[in-house]
Amino acid sequence: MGKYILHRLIIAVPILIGISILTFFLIRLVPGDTVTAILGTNYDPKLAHKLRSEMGLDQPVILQYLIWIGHVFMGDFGTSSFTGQPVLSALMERLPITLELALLSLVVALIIAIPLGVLAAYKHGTRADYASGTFGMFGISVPNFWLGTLLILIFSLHLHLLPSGGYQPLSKGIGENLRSLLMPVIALGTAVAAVTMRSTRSAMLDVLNEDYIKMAKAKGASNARIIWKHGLRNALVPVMTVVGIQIGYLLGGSVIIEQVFALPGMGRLALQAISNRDYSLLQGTILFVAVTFIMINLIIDVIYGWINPSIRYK
Amino acid sequence: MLKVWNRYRHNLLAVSGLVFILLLIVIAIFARQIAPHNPYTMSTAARLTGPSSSHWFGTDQFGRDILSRIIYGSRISLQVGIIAVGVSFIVGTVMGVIAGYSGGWVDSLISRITDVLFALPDILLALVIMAILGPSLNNLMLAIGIVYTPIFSRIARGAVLNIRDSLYIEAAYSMGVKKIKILWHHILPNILSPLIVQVTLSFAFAILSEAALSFLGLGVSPDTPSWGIMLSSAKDWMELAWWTAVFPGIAITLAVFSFNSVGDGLRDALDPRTGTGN
Amino acid sequence: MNDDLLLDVRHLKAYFRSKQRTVKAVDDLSFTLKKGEILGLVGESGCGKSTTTKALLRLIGNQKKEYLEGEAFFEGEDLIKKSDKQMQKIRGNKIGFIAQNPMSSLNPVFTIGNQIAEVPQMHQRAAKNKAWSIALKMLQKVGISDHETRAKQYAHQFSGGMKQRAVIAMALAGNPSLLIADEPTTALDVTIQAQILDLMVKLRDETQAGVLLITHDLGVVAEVCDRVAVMYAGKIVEQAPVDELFHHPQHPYTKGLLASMPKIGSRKKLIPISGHPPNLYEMHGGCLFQERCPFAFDRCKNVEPPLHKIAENHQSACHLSSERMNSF
Repeated sequence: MGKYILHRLIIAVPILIGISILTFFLIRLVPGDTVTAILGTNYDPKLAHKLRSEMGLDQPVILQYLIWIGHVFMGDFGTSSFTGQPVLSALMERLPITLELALLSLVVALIIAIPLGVLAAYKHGTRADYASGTFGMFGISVPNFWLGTLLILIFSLHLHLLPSGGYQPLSKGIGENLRSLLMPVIALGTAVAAVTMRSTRSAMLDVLNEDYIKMAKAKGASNARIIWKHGLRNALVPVMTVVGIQIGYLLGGSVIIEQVFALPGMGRLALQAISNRDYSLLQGTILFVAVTFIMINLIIDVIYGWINPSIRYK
Repeated sequence: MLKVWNRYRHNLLAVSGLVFILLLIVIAIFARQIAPHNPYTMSTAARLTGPSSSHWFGTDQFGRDILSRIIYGSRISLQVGIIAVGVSFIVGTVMGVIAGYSGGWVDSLISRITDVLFALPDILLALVIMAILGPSLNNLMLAIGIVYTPIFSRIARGAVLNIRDSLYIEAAYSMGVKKIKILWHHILPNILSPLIVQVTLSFAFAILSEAALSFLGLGVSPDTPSWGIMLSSAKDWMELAWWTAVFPGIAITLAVFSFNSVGDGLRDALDPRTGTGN
Repeated sequence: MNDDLLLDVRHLKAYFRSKQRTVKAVDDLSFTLKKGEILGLVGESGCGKSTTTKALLRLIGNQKKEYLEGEAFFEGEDLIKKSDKQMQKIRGNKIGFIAQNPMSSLNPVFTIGNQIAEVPQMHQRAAKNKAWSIALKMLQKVGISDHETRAKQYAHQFSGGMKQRAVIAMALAGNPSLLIADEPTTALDVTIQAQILDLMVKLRDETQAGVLLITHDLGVVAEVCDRVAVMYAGKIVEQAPVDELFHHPQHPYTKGLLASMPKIGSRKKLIPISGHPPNLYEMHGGCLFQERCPFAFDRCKNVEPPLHKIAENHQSACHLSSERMNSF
């Protein structure tokens, strides 16, 4: 198992390097550099030149990259050219909010979707199965930001049950914290639930035709035991792959959902960085999101290895 | 072909999706004839009026007719879909076929690039590209096109690898058929069906992405009648006028739903083995 | 009534119905099995032998399109009349099942020991460690060396022969009085086949369980069975002790099967049976074998020959078998 995790880690390294190169050079392409953005209407060529050399922006681009990546390795992501705050501390402030939103959405979605998918497969071909299929299709088609908007419209503006936005940290109590995340989690998690339900259903249908399921039946296992013990564990193998892909959706979608519900997470930070042309902040944010994505996928890989023993021993 | 259609025909969801897409195309083409009002005409007298016989879906904060803007919005959505998916389909397939067919360092390079692009959440990647290019319809289509290129590249590469070593390609080789001819006559037709399915599903993603990016203010310009823009401005007015937020969202959902169900139906029809009985 | 009688199947029918047609996979099947006896059920693929096992285990018959009729007395109780709940207590417990394909019959995500221990856990409500020690004992019994390590391994770490041993261990874990083995050696190498067959005979000697062995391979039958029933198109066409059947086959189909089987040391040409088994959904009157039978005559077209006694312990369903024919 240790070997397996190490192997997954090694695979992640070139991707991380690629991501850093991509983000660094992509952002160099943004029209109008930071200095222009900082000076705004008071643009003075001499002052601009001075600022550029102070910030290292007059060096060759490759050198700038190497300096930047060197600093990143030391944990120094630079300082925000707009607020002057160190990028890392800005990110660390925002990361827990995005992570909580994404993981909560994922967990809620899985808890609802996997049993539904299993039942749809078990009731294969019945009306309940078709209903869940149609619901699943709607779930992957409805835009999360519209769903969020509708939730606000109904539960905040009309029924006054829930806050329309803003984040309550855990320090204010878990109840308040969850109240502030309830609608964002529904808005973000619906699509994940729909995708997971659909893939669980089709994986389960495949598994239920396997010989070892017939064998379990011949052993005298009850239907419940066959489905939840023998079937589900096997069906989860392909489902986990789909869940891994969903992590990307969750992190990307949180950019939008954070905007809809005014949650101060990493996605909002990225949007602010874009509108302020805050290079170092934007670079740091994207790199951070990519690393988070890769790390969560690594965790998924480990779970995958735990579910599927034949992978583990390869 | 007939067999595929016969299987497709029995999938109610897929057939209704297809009908809705055809309807959407007709609406987009004849928007000017169908729309009851000019989508750009403002009217201070008619600001934020609810659904009525003259404005079925009500009006927005500038008094513009929402139904007409939704009808014109179908043009934006379809245009984004066609161009963005077209770009990613062509570029991605070419990349993937080259990677799968040539192997070696070319394959490694292309595969690493797609790996890296996959490691970024697609909306975030599109956001950064839009930040670089600046908001406009053309840039939006390009950005979405870039984001979905790796998917096509991966599918094409996988499919090429799958059949490159198969017996009939070997047979063609041994008979002295030229490489490029093998590629064109034997490999491309064989990788077409997974790609067709992906094209349909990507259409759904493209429509969603356009709406999302426009919603965030990084898509098309704010006066464009786009479904995403309409939702974006509705945020500030929906407390007074729910219809501004409800109808454009229904339009997006229905369009995306249709493309998704057609993609699903095609997948089941083209490959009966994966048919899950729906 | 014979005290030794373990299984008494009478007029068993298993039909599959669809909108267009009804497939009579098993049609009016009767046979008996004694304690400690190995009965071979032989026939070509599609003759209904696997359906017979599924019917006895009641793995079919629970859906509308599956129709089951007849009686199957197992230890005096009719299996066909049992509810699914009651059958759950019998399957794996009193009746052990050895599946056709060991490669895919083991669950890939649980250890072998876990899958065997599940049987006493379900049927005897054994505690976890008790069940585990039963699993270890079973693995030892089926001849898996280093069984304590092996029990903690997964199916993909087992070879084909070991997988089948594990499947047999699973079937034995409930201490059954009847073992049903559906082509237990078909998927295995020839050398492994012999080992598995030896193992089954040894286990029968130890446990005195009755064994219903389904196979298409007359070589397997000759090696292990006490008695043989030959199946054709959903019916038994001949039934006899193994020596009697091999030396005095009565039914033309049995003769055909024997003639198409290679014998060591014999240079006689192998004679295949011409033609194909009939479709099980468009059956007409008369003998089902008539189209392929070299001896068919008028009566065969109109009257279906019943299975009748032609000697002590020997039954055949052929119009000719009462008048011994030796000309073949």
